[in-house]
Amino acid sequence: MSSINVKLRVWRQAGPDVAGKLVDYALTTDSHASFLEMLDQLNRELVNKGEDAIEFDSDCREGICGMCGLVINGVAHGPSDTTTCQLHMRSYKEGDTIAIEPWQATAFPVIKDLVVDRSSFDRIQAAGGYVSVGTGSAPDANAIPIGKAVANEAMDYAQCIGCGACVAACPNASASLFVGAKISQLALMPQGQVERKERALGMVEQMDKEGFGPCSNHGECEAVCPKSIPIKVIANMKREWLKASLT
Amino acid sequence: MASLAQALGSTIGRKYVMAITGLIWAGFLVSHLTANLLLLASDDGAAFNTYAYSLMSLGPLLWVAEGFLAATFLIHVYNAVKITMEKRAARTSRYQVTANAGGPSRKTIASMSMIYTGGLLFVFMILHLKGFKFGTEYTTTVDGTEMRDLYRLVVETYQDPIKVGVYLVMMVVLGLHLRHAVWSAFQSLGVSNQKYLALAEKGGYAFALLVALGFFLIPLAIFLGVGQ
Repeated sequence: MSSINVKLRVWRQAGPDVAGKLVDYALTTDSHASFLEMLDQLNRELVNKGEDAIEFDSDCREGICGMCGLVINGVAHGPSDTTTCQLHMRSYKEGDTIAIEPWQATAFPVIKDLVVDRSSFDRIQAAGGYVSVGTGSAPDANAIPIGKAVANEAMDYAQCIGCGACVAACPNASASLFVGAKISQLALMPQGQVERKERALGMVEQMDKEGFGPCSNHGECEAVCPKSIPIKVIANMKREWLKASLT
Repeated sequence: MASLAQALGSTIGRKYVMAITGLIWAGFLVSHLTANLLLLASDDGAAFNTYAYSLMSLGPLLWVAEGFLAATFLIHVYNAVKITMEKRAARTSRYQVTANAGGPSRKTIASMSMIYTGGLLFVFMILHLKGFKFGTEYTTTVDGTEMRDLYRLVVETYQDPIKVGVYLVMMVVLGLHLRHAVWSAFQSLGVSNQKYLALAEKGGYAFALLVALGFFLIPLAIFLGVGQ
């Protein structure tokens, strides 16, 4: 156990339609604390003082659910290799200043403080990110022949947890990595073939409708993605969209 | 199937248009640079003027080519403005602290300044056309054929240190624009084969460097009197 003093600058915003700003807090915490535990600790101090707790999202706290997500010192999920919940205070030095902001995108409106509304992702998913073939009960392992390499690649893309870090990190607030991952994953699998065209067109159309920006190939999304999804999926999405548009 | 207008107006459609029109212009730059190398032929401009004369002799065919280039250029500019407007609308509340994530990110000064380098190149293009294509009409005779002496105009223009300076700065701007543009065009076209994309990335950087350097060195050589 070793304690560490940090200076926090946290985005406080009372509601969706009011302006937010960074508010400074000083905190002594433990270097073994996770980033979210550190925020829990700060909240306890705030509540004990009779102040409003800082709202932030979290759920599994083991890097698999996609619920947590903060822009820390300008980087989505901060210096964590995966999600914000997997970041620990040992990544920081005594006296460090840490700025904490919510995902900022028109399609992810801030609900309060660090919590944003990501239901735009759900609507994109509903616009084609599914298979509607009757899958019945679990088939025998070898009933659907899929090569190992293809299965691996589809699994790599299926790892997307929809956290939205790609949008947060993109200078254009584009959702291309998210949508690309979904389209690429299902395009590789036999189950995804039936609705392949409708999926590409529908998800891209919904992505545009939600107000996400265009992709300028900056590649920041790939760098912050907790599941290391490559921008190759964006190129895949473009091919899928073009093929579907031309036929 | 969506209508063509809908498809071309979607965020992905726009990027296809940007990539195709951009690559057409990258191709034009190669032919332009190759022709400009004739300026260094130490033949008082005979080869350069003859080449320009042969282009001008194409008549209606040249107008078609020029019209095509102008159209692709304007479509590129139109889409660039639309894309910039869309991306600004996609994030109206800005981050207080910004940083680059590093790692596999390709975000650079070049990628972040495309609209500005592009805007500067647009202004430069107008001045460039005004200065040369629509510039002073000198005439000369090469092998008994009377033709426009573009060589003289170019050499005279690049005696002015201010014009040379502006030109050189603009070629750095061009290099920056191309650094992100070329590989990015292949990504936008949907090249997902990682070997080809890596090739496009390295090739794109090399292309940007070579083209910008080529255009950079020619007026510098003329100004310094090398190869005259």
